[in-house]
Amino acid sequence: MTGPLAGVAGFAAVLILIAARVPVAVSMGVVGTLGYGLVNGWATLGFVLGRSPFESIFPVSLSVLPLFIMMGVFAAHGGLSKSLYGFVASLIGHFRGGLALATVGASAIFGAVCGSAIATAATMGRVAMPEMRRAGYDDRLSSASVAAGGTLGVMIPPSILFVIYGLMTEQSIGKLLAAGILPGILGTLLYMGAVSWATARDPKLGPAGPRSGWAARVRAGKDVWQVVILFGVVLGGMYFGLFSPTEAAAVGAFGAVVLAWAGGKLKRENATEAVIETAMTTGMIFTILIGAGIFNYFIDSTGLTDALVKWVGDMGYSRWTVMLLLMVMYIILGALMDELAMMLLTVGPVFKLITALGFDPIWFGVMFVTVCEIGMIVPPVGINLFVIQGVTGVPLQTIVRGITPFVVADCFRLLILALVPAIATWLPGRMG
Amino acid sequence: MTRLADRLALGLALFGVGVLGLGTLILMADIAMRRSIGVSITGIGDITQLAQMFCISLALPIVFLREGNVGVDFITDRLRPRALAALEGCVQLVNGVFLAAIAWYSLKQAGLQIDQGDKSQTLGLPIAVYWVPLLAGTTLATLACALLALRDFGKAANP
Repeated sequence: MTGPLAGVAGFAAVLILIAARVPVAVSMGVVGTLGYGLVNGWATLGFVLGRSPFESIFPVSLSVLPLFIMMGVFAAHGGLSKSLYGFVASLIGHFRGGLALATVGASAIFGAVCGSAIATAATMGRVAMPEMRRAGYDDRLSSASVAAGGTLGVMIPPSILFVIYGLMTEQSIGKLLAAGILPGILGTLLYMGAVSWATARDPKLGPAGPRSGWAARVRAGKDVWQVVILFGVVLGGMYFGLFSPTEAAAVGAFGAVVLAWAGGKLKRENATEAVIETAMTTGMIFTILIGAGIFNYFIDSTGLTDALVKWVGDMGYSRWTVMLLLMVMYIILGALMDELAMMLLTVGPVFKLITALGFDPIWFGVMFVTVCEIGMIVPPVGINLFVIQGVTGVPLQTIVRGITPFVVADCFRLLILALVPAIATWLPGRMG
Repeated sequence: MTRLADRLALGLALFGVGVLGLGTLILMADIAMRRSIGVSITGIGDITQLAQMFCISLALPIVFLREGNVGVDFITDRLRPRALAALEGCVQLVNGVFLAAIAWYSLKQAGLQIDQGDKSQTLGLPIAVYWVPLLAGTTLATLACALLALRDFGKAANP
């Protein structure tokens, strides 16, 4: 089997291996290796296996990833999440569903220093769930608000998914990160709308709490300046051209470590845990990048990408129909596999297709990350559902029962972004 | 045996992140010097690249040993314990063979580049310095998978 059909068979083989418990990275790597050997001859295999892993981790532009990971991990271990939650809860906790609203708001702000949805959900889950349970919130609303709020971490910059998308598609990482700000705020407001809608229908889900006085609010807000400064320096530095993305990530990582240390939260055991978490997350992401690098060698050699573009062109569908089909495909795929793997597996061919159809690559990046957010909270493999189950002990079925309003809010966000693309493209368009 | 391997992998991972931390400090010094006195540290790109190579490559053994890779378990979770252990043993074998192939062909590629006298762009560091962490990381990750395969096949034989 040769040509594009071999590429399609390759995708199917990867999914079969993933279903058989083989890690996503290894599945892509093994299929890529064998596929490349079959299509191009075994003599060339040494070059792919010898070159591709090195090429996947060597470019200096990739240093952004471990540095942003370090920033997020140390911000979480430094207790920034607790300060944030306390502050936002003191402002809006007295409303019906107020603590769930605070969870969403604090997750969004924490997402501004942490580029990972998993880390945001796990961190906020530990902080917010006990408070909501104490206040008599139903587990359905509390666990779902943490799971959904956590996904804001990959939209609001710095975002690991945007960085990888930028590296894969050769788009400006700075512009992509800026593009995530307004859709991230929109997502936060829509999630808050979802909480309000759910508690309006069933007030027992999130009873109103006592109102905090201004003195208590000022006290709760005394540590929030750290997050504001860290976010401002990293994003502002990139936006105004003071730092390259690598430099901004280094400043962020350094700042997060210093703030955690200065706040007295970085004791030896905690620091070691943070370093291990940094290593584990970095290693996991780059293993996928290595596997995807090998797989992409194979896919490129089959000509699948060009065939796909031609096939869609020949079908005569309008470009918006193609976009709708792509979004539906991604929501289904996102429900079945990890979002990073989904991106690495598909963005190559799909990016060529959407640029050939005349869509803005930055806007598509935002749409893509939004569907990734949906994939993270949709069963059966919505990763944030498992994270919240692991952190809080709430049964998976309970979280899933509460998640529907948030998924609807995400779909609504996709629609708004499609109707008003400027929400994603206005800020990057103003950059130099 | 597994505990010893875990300590070794942990030590390597800590060292790798430590090198990245050192690289971050040098990068911070470069930014500060450039902004204040207009002088840049020579070869900052080479140094950053070296730090990232150490951090990423030396994290591989602990990721594989602690089974920290992304995967899908729910489809096979309903298998009987014995069958599941055998399947997990096979998965570890696949992981190990894949990593061994990478380590082997990377070694050949590294040898080729060293023979050609390849060096880093600015500082002129021998390219071998960049290959060593990747070779060490993939080789030790291979051994980690072999260890886990033995554990899983042992479980399958004596549940």
